[in-house]
Amino acid sequence: MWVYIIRRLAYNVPVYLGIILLVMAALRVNDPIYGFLGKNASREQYDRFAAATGLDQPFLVQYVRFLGDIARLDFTTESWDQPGISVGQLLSTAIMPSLALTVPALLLTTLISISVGMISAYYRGRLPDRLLVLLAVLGMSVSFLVYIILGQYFGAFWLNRWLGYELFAIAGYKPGLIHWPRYCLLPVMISVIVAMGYDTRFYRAAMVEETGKDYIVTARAKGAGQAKLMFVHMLKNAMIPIITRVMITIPLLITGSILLEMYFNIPGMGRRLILAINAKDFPVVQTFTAVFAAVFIVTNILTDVLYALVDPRVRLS
Amino acid sequence: MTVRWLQSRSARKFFRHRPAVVALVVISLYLAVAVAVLLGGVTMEQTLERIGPGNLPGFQGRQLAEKRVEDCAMVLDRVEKALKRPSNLRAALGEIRYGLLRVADRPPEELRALVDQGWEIYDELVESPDLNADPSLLPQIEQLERLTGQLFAPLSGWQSLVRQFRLLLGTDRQGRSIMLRGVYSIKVAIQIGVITAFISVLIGSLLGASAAFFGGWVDHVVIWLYTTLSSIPYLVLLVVLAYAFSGAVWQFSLLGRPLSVDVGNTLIPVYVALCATFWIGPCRVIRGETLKIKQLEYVQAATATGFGRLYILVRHILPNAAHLMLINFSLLFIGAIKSEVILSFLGLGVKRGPSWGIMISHSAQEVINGFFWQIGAATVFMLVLVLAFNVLTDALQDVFDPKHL
Amino acid sequence: MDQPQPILSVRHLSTCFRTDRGVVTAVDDVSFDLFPGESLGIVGESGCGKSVTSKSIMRLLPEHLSFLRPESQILFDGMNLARADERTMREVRGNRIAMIFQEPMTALNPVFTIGWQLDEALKYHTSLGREGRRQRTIEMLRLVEIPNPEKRIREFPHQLSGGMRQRVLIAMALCCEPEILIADEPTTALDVTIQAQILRLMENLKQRLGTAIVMITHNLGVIAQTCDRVIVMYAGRIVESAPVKQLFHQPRHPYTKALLESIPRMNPGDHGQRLPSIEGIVPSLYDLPPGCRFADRCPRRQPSCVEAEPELEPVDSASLVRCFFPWE
Ligand SMILES: Nc1ncnc2c1ncn2[C@@H]1O[C@H](COP(=O)(O)OP(=O)(O)OP(=O)(O)O)[C@@H](O)[C@H]1O
Ligand SMILES: [Mg+2]
Repeated sequence: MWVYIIRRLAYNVPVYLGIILLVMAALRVNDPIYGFLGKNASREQYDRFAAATGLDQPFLVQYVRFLGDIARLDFTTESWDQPGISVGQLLSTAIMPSLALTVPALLLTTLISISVGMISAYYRGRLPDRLLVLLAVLGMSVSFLVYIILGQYFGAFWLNRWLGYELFAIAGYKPGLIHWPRYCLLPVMISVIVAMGYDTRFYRAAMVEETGKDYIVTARAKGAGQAKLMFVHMLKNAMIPIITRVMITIPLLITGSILLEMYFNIPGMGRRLILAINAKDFPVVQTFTAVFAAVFIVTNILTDVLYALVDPRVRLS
Repeated sequence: MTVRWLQSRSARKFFRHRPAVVALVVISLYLAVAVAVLLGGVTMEQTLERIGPGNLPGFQGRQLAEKRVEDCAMVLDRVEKALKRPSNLRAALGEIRYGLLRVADRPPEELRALVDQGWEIYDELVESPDLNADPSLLPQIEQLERLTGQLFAPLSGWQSLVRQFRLLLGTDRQGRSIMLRGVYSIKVAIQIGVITAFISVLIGSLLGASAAFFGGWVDHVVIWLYTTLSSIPYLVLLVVLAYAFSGAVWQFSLLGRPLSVDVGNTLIPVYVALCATFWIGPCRVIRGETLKIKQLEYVQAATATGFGRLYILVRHILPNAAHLMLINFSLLFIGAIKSEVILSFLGLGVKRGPSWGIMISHSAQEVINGFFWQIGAATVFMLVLVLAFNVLTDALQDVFDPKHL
Repeated sequence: MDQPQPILSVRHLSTCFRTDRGVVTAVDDVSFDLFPGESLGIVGESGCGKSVTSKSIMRLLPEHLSFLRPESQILFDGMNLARADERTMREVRGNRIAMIFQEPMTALNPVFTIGWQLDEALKYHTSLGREGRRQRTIEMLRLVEIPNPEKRIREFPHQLSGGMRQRVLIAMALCCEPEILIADEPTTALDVTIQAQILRLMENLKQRLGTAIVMITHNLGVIAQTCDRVIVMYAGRIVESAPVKQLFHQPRHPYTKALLESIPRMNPGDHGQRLPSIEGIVPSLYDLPPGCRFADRCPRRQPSCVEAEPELEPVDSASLVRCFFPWE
């Protein structure tokens, strides 16, 4: 098992090096210094700024330095837009709000979608199934932004007016578990609803695929009941497509959380990144992208490990 | 080739799928509208033009009495202000236009009389403590509206039809026609969808097929490239790429004349960002398929007889993977349209003129005030097209790739 | 004459599938009896409906795709299984009627251990405790001659060879000592030596437990070795039913005769001769002829054969045949 994990890690190292390379190159397509200082900055101004930020060095030197910073988890580079504040400080305040959105969203999405997918597969071809499939397809065809706008209106404005007190905050964020439901539950619910459109269809297909398998017939021939078949025999086999799907859902949720953070004013990593982009705050954009990619790669490795745990064929090969 | 396909088994299977046929019809209609817009059916200026009071509900829906009175007052106010500038009265009055509505060509005295009459009624009306709750005031409001209407030149039959069409879905906060904006956005969406999906499928297929076909280092490089790109969360990559191109000005010379393209203000950053992430899907699929096809006997036979590799690639492999390209095109089309909305909301998408993304993000403020026509219209326009593509994709997958999960 | 009571009696079994080209009847009006301790063979070409018949008896066909015609009856111990609800079926399946499946490679669940899968049937149908079930599992594996069963129960199906998996399936089918065992081509996936072992094993079990066996195969050699009575099926229909000796000595239906002639024999004189095979193809279930379904390929065809279908009628005391012009 350990060998397997180390192999996966080693495999992802060149991928990560490549990500940093591509990101750094892309960010330099359009000169970041002119972007920040404005097109009319004088030559001296430019040179002074470049020297101060190390952007006058050859690309390779910058690349190695940045890699070094990341490897040492050294995020002391200063933000351009907010002088005196390091990227690391921005990062550390932004991580918790982001996690408070994505982790519950991931768990809830997966649980609910699998259940709904299984219900749909159970009623396959009958009315509840058709209804659910129709809803899922309709749900998939509406933009995320519409869910957010309407979700905020009905979940916050309308509901609060109707109830007479503020159940969900319209926007904003406060740290701490007691404040979580007030500020984060509504965005999480919105992102669960959006993701469900995609996921239930997939989980339904995964379960339906299982129904036709020979070993399911064998299990029925042994006298297994419907519940046992679905929750034990099929679910454990469907775990592989399910894990794959969860992995596909993670970047979707990151995307979703960026939008939700923007819209609900939650000071997470996505909001920081977008603000930095609007302010042309180059070091923040570069570092945040690198961190996003790192988080994502770690989840990839985790999924590979999960595969191995679920499927004896992977583990033993 | 097309004719042969139409008679084939898969074609029959496809056309038996009734929703798919409906979807195809819907997509064709959208395409037709897009072409009509492109040919000048709706211009961008028209979508930016004020055609009436702001936030007018669609289908001639009734508004609150208060808002009706205020809308009238606004018109009265504008005409009155123009009348106060007798030096260039014509020009001042000419500036007042709501789409096809122009101020009537009457002597100024008549106009002034109308305006004064209007203000009288207005003054009476605003005296009332609660306009909205008092039905006895309705006749007066209607009279006020009639008076205001007389300020404008009457429209010919055809023109009033056009105006009704433009007002069909109401107006946004700035009094612009939601209908026109929605229809114009069809063109924008289809443009973005077709260009991105086409380029992505093209790049993806070529890279995927060559990776599988030539193997070796080509394969390694392509795999490395797509693993790398797909390891950056999709929106982060989009945003970073859109950032990289925003504000960029490309300078080059064409036929000796220097040209500069303000890339940041075109859709080019959107295309680059979307294509950079979208080619991965088709690349993976086509690579897998090519690996499979490569094993087939006739392809191996062709290789053995010494046909050029490129010839084999083009002659045997790409046609056999054509259905996958079609499916991917359809998937990416949906992806592009939906991403446009997100990018536009973040200020990185469409910069000039309307799009569904712009409409939806602008409607946020209206929704808070309980006005749903703009978000509703944009959503429905988009839903129908995306739904049609979803249904089509499903049908295509059913026909060509039944084992697909 | 004092007839023994049949343990299973299938009457007018017709199984239909809903497909996108319409409804097809894969098994058409099949009737037979199975007596305790008897081995009944079902033979026929691939696709003639053998597996569908057996799965219909166990009611294992997917319900959204298939249905039994209302006149179908599957009488077992006073119950009509064709009408039984899922609850009753669960009691019967694995416990009183068990089944061995055609493909040992896919019939076992890849993500559970062998032990777990054997244990499952015992859990449903016996009151044994955990340890008792373990003992029984090991005992069953030993019975089907799997070496080192204590270790094997902790392994996953992909760690076993095809022959071993088939034995596991047999052990699984037998662990609740069923009254009827339906074996759907239990040996086709195996090589000849293992095939013989498995058949011997099943024969032993029949002797020891008195189980009635339905042996489905297209291998006539297997039938000759193991069965008492044989049913020959063709395109969803029974075409002949006879005691095994009689069938081999005196086949009545032209199809049976053709089947028998296509068995390779080791006669010295035959060397170098081509094996006779049956010309033509089986009619599609979607497009059945109005007359005899075998008429197209039949050497004894008469004009009347294509007009009406013959009934399944007795030709002598023990056999039935569906032919206007059976061999004498
Ligand atoms: N799910 C299904 N849907 C439609 N038709 C089916 C289905 N399952 C079986 N059939 C049809 O029923 C017929 C009988 O199939 P069956 O599996 O019983 O054949 P068989 O005699 O067991 O053949 P083999 O020797 O290959 O196992 C076949 O023609 C098949 O096409
Ligand atoms: Mg079979």
